[in-house]
Amino acid sequence: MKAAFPWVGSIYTVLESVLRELGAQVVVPPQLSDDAVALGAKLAPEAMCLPFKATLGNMVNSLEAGADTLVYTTGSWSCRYGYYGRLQADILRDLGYRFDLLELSHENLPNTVRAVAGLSSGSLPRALRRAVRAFRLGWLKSVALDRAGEVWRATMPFADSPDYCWGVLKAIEEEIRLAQRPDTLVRTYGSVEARFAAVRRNNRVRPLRVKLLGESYCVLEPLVNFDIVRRLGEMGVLVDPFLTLHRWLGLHGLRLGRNEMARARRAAATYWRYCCGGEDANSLGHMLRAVELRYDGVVHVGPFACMPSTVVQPTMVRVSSSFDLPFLSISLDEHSAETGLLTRLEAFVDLLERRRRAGLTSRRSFL
Amino acid sequence: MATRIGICRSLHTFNHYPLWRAFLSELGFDVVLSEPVNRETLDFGARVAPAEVCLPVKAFIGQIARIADAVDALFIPRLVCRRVNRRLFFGCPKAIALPDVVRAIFPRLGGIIELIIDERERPEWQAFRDLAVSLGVSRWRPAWLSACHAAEEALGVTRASGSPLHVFGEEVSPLPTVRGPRTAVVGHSYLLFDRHLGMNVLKHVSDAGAQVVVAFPSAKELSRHESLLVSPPSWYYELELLTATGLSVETGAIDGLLFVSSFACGTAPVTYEMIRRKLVRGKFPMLTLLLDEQTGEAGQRTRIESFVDLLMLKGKR
Repeated sequence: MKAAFPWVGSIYTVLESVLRELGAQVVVPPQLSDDAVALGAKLAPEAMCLPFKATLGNMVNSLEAGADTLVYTTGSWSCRYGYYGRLQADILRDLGYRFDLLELSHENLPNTVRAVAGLSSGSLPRALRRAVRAFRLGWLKSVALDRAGEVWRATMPFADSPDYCWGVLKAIEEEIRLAQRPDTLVRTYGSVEARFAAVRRNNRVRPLRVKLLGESYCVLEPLVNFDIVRRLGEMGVLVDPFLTLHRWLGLHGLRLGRNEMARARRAAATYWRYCCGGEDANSLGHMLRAVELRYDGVVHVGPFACMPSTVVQPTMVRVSSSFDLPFLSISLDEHSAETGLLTRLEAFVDLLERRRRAGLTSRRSFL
Repeated sequence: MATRIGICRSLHTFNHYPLWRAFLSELGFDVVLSEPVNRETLDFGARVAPAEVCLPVKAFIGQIARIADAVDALFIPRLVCRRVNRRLFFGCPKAIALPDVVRAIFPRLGGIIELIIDERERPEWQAFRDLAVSLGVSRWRPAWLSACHAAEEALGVTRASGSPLHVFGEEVSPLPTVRGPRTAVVGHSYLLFDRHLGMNVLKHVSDAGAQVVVAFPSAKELSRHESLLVSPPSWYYELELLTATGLSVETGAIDGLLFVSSFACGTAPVTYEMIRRKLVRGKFPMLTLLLDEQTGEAGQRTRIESFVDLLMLKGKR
């Protein structure tokens, strides 16, 4: 089995080693690029959302690179994400590609287990042993990546040279990617803090803090969000995304962190009674949390015409105005350009700085 | 004077109005149906709603502003989830979040009566009963029951293939049966039967000399057909569209298909791909019309006419 899966952020670092340990061959397609997105946009229905187009282009690349099994996570709910697997499979089959489709979902658990057992030529004990090893390695990689990202984000606004700081992160990520043994990962994990502490500091004292919310793919994939976390970091802003890859895998894949999700939803409940399938309730909950924690502003990113993110927007605008919390909403599609985004971000950061100088903060309670 | 409850004449009201009216008037309320969508309401909706929501939601928001002052409360249902054959089918995110969206856009708006249909929690009839109870009707007064009966009689809504279509209690102006190519028009009822949003699509098709086939499956057909579909969509109203198309294709009763959707409708691209790749499969021509608040009727008309011309030419060959 030569497996391939949609590219999101640095997911390959984690899932590649998991699948390899399980006994599958993994096809690593060329890094997601504008060309891949353009290809996906050509093949996908026009009004489909950006993540669909990006992952579709990505899958074509994987198939060209020799993949014979496409792995998707899926489910049946109200967001279009649940259709990615079958719809992309239909499109790709009509293009003449031949492959197996493996949809991982909580409803499809037996098939998933069968597929995994099949990798160990049907021997269940062997599959189990392998699975334990695989998940341990994957988990450690994911945790290490998450830690590196977190410390990097916290260092960025203070770095004398943001580019150098970025280089440190890339070096650590590469180390994690290449690691084959748990102890290497533990060592890397331990060294993260020291390596960022060695980055030369500028004289910034109290950076602006911004919460990044929105649709998962657009928050996680630097190619489609034009590396928004790094750009804001370069402007001296401490960015705190509500979702990181580790948390995404944990929350949605393994259903961990249910408490935190429930807390976010509870916070949002006054404004949002039913979650409609995406990160809507979760984002809103984190926005209210940002009010409580006195963040300076909130940036919301989502694909153009994404149903959950569009529908939650009026509520976010209302929260923003009743708590006096600056809010910038950015919708992305395959036509978005970096300069346009940068201009908007710069203007937003200017506004936040001016508010800070004038001593304005968000209100904690609804007057 | 009885409490007046406003219902907007857009979105899923087109499917369920007789039921909702029967239910509310049986409970002793005055039901006020808003005026049909027009230029003004749509413009207002487009201004206050977020730019990226779909056309019918903009119309809905515009109508709320229109009707809110004239009534004591608004009836806004939340269509979360329905069961067909034990499988769950969801409303689209907009149908699920509608009351919250309205509250966010009109923070000063008073009473909103929410009917929450979520069959993960309770069957549909219980949703009606609980709503009746929350409106101060005794649980034991079977008003909701008689309401359901009344609705049953009023049914004929937009359903039942074969029998004439009814929208808001009126029979849809009987389309002259011409002997032209049979064209299935597939789209949400709130587009096809709304004169302003839908730009008289049905009339133009029939004027162009084609025979219009519009089918909305009954509950029985829905559940029968659902079991036939390999991977049905998990949206209830899209299942309806797909079933309707499936039934027409199955009986071989159509020569062409016109797919009508609105700008920024999230579910349409998925349904479109499913219909195109699973049902049509190149067996007959298919045209998509995308409606938005800017399109002129003449443009749509030209496209429909040339599509029907194409079907006629194909028929002659």
